[in-house]
Amino acid sequence: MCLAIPAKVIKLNDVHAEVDVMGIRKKVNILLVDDLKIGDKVMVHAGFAISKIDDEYYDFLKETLKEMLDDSP
Amino acid sequence: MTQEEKRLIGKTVDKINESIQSDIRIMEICGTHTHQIARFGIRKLLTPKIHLVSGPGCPVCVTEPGYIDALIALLKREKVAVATFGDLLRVRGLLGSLEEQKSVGRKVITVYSPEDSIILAKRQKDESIVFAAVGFETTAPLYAALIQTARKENIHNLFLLTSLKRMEPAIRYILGEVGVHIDGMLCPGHVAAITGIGPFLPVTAEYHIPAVICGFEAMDLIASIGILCGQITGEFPVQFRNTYRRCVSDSGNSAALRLMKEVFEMSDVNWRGIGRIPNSALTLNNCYEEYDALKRFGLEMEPTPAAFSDGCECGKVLIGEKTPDMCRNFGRLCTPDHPMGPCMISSEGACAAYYRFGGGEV
Amino acid sequence: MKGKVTLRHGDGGLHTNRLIRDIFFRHFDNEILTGYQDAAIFSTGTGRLAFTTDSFVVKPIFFPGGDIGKLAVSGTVNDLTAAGAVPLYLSAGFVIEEGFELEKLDQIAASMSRTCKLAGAQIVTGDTKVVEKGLVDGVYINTSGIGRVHKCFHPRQITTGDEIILTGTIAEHGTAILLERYDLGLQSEIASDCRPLSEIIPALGDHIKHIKLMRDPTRGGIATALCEIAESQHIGALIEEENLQIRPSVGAVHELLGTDPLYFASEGRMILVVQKGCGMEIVNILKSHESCRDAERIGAFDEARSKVCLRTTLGGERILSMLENQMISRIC
Repeated sequence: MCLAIPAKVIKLNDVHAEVDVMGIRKKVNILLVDDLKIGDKVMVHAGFAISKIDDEYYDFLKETLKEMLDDSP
Repeated sequence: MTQEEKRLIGKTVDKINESIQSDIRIMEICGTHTHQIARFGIRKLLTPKIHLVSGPGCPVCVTEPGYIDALIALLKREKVAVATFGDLLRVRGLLGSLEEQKSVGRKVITVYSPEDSIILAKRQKDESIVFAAVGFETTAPLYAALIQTARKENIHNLFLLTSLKRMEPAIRYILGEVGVHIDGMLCPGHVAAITGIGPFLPVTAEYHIPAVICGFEAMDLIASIGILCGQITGEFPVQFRNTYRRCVSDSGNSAALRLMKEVFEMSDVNWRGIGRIPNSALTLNNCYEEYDALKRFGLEMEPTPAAFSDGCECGKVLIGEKTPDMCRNFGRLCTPDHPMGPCMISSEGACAAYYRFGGGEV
Repeated sequence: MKGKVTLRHGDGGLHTNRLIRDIFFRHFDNEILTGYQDAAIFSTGTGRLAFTTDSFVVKPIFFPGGDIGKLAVSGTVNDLTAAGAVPLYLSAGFVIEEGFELEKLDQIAASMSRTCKLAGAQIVTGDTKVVEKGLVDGVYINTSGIGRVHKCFHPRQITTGDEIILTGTIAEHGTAILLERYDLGLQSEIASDCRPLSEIIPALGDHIKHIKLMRDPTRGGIATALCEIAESQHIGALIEEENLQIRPSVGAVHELLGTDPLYFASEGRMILVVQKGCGMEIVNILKSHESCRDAERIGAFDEARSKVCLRTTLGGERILSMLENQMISRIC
């Protein structure tokens, strides 16, 4: 129900940030996310950042998968 | 996708397909999951014993015809414009659709972000801008932020006609009152990014169904389906999991939750094709009622009958009792060009996703 | 060149003649055009000819990567290319809105002239009409074209194993126009891929005998074009998503908007259906030419299938169908 895509914060400007989405620049509203810093990754839904993304957990997901598979390449 | 990820996904798929020996049903509640599953062709990867069924998580599909009719009634007033996301344009009420209204010259403005309506309101000061505020908890805080911004900037010609729904009561309704049988549930990652994991814990804790909060990339979906299958077959203990921790913390987005609490209150609402679910709506509270289009324009939203076309099974599709291809209208009488039910209109409706991406049949 | 197009420019008198001389003759300069008034006269030698026409009503008229003039020449040249023909002569008909700036018309004519040179074609006849304000949106252009069909090109029935080649990245024209037309607040470097592809025919030389069919994936995008081919030949196909190339920024726009790039137009790409076994050879020939350097074999036809299917990067499959309706903004 909720199309959102990852973006990287490039500039901060009061309640807005300029973000990069694979080479595209876009202005998003950041009222819903506290303590944003330049370089942070956020999930963008309909022009608003709705959460920060912590990429460490993507690696964690891969590790979980490997454990589940007893996979040690 | 890296080669390593592809390899992991391939191995997981093999493991899933080996382990599932009898038919199981996994529900994805979220329309974006429905869309991504179809887009990645995941059904074709998995054994036909795994039935992926959709839930009520497409806000456009579950929005009542009376809501569209209220928007149309507003458009017929002097100096009123309706701002909406594209999803809603073709949804029909009893009086027609916004797209039809637009074609006869009424002011329907398609926007990408709720924030665009602030610009509209500032530019068209002698006009009332009504935003068609549909969505679940993912989108609700955006409207809350919008209304607080409007108040701060002294904007008094912007209003919301809300059709905002909460996920938890709908899940309880489907699993409890309707008693739909499923073996596992993919929980909506972006709703959970706002709400935290709380609303989804009962799926496992009370209904004893394995459940995973899941993201939207191929890896998220395959890993989560793998975990669900492991729990369903008994390889792993049944335990609520969150594989989307990179976006979803246990307690959710505190800033968004605070805003929602300030602006909205809970109320009962009809879900199209499903029925009335107590406390499942978010509506503007007294403090913000000056922004409520219903109150401002003195409108009543008529509860309408389900109003599905002959033989339309959207009601059953929305609660996972049927898959779209089980409807006799599907793909013949009912296509995205000539939709007969809401699930074919929204691009995330289960029927539209099935149709466009060929569902399980290739 | 200052000033605006007025209704007098379309009255067939002095002002019309000036407009034609100062803009169109100046840019399209060639003896066939300037030598005769009512019709162009030329000889074409022997062999088969291809003849096509198309009208262009793009909005906006100027867009990143091109303009309506470049598009009007490329579109007709590419239709001739798809027919296995080298373009020779084009006509250009203009319907201009009163008040349209002469300077813009001059830019469009210049762009058409450049595109013709690139394509090795000449505009040899034309027409100009001016209509009252509001009757058209700026300028509409119709181009027709005649080309000589390569002696070895014979379109024929597609069968199982015939390979599908796409000459480059997808969806760039449609995406560039989308970004210009709707104020989505996105900044990008995305430009239309609009260009003439006439070099394909001489590049292929006698290898063109291995080509069974060509089609440029314009409106409706690559998915619709493939479905049209498959449907008309009563055959299915399997396309490899991995081999479809999309610029990251174009992909990002569609991720953001929730739209499917497979349904967005290219104006400088060609689909070639190649006899089974000849795919790689043709790809290598194409790759050495500027307009096709990203050519790839993207799949093959298969009689065992009834539809065009896409094998996703994940290894799953989904069906591609023709464009039914394209949604621009969605939350869900």
